[in-house]
Amino acid sequence: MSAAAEIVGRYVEVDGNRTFYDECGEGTPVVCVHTAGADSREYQYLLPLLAERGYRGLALDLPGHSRSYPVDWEPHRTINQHAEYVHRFAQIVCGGEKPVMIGCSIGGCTAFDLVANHSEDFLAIVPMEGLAAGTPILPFPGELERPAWSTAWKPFLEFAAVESLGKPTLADDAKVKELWWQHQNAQQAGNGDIQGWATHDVTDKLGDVRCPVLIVKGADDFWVPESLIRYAAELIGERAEVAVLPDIGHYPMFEDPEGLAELVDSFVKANAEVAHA
Amino acid sequence: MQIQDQEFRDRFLEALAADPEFEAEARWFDGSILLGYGDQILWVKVYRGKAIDTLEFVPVFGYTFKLSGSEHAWEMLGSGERTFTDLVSSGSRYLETMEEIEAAGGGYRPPELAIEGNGVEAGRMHIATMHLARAFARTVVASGVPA
Repeated sequence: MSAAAEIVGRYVEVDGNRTFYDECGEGTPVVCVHTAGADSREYQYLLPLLAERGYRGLALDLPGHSRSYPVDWEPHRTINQHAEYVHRFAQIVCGGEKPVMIGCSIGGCTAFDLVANHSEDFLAIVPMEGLAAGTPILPFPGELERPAWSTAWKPFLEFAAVESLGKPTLADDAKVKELWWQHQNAQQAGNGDIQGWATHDVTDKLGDVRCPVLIVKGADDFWVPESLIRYAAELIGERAEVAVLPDIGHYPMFEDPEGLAELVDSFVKANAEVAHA
Repeated sequence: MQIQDQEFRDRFLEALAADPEFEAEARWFDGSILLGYGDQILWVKVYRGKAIDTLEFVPVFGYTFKLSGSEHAWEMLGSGERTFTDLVSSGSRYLETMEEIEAAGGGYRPPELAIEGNGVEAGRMHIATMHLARAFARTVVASGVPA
């Protein structure tokens, strides 16, 4: 077996905003977007597995998260802001080549936003643990954004992350601690992410999708009701597939990177003709 | 066994005393937490990381904050069926249709376990409360407290 491809950290200017991303491998680009209050490290196990399968994995830190500056020193507070930023990032870093896009949680909502608004620019889009309309599953948290306004927000979001792991991973203390440490952008940037989740709704824009869409949900993830992702799949129509993963929670790329790499690779290869049509 | 029985209280406080993370998180808290288990209550005094007393009633000076829910909600926490975060979070996540979700209040549907009272104190005690709730709920399940 060959050695795993190395992950290299890079910076790029996205419309003048210094943006960090991890890169691994060569081939068809795959743009990966992390969850609320987290960063590119969530994809550290997936990227080499994508590289093994002939992809160029690209995992960015969203603006205001970890090593990427916020735009104009303000956190994004809508999913559409994240989606437009990721679209620009993909245009700049992928050099005109259509990428696959994978996003998880608020990254999954971002993926749905790209499905709604820019599907023609992607080879395939994989929303994981996200919703086309995040509104019903939790309240709008804007009044908790600043530390002085809520002593609970940061620990709440940190544990909202780790407690939504699938039951096998939740029983692994080391993995729980690792994910907890990945969520240290939880206060203002993470709050902006969840403000975006709570107000996001692109359900009226899913009727003319130009690329294949694989909607992924961990069966143990309590944040994302299966009924709502199946509703989104119905709205997209024949270009959408749904995969529900047993024993997985809110973090498929962290909990089962091998299984996810295989799933994405199979989906892209099976649907490549559709994407290029 | 009922949650107000001395044997239950002893088991609960023993479980809590064995949790170093609770002690660390609650180190600078001086207040009281009222636990509501269905119609039953248990008042817990916490000082410098330790639960030092319990009462089966609310004393005249009240409590700092309250954590309450149905017997079923506590049992779901104690058995591991649901997590603390899931149970204390508002929102409609277990309903099948958009009509049901909207009728239930959408993102503002009340949580299974409600935190009420001094929100600033409850907020800084969020992780300690999670550990206390787990110890209480696991003791409920292990002790066979009837619903």
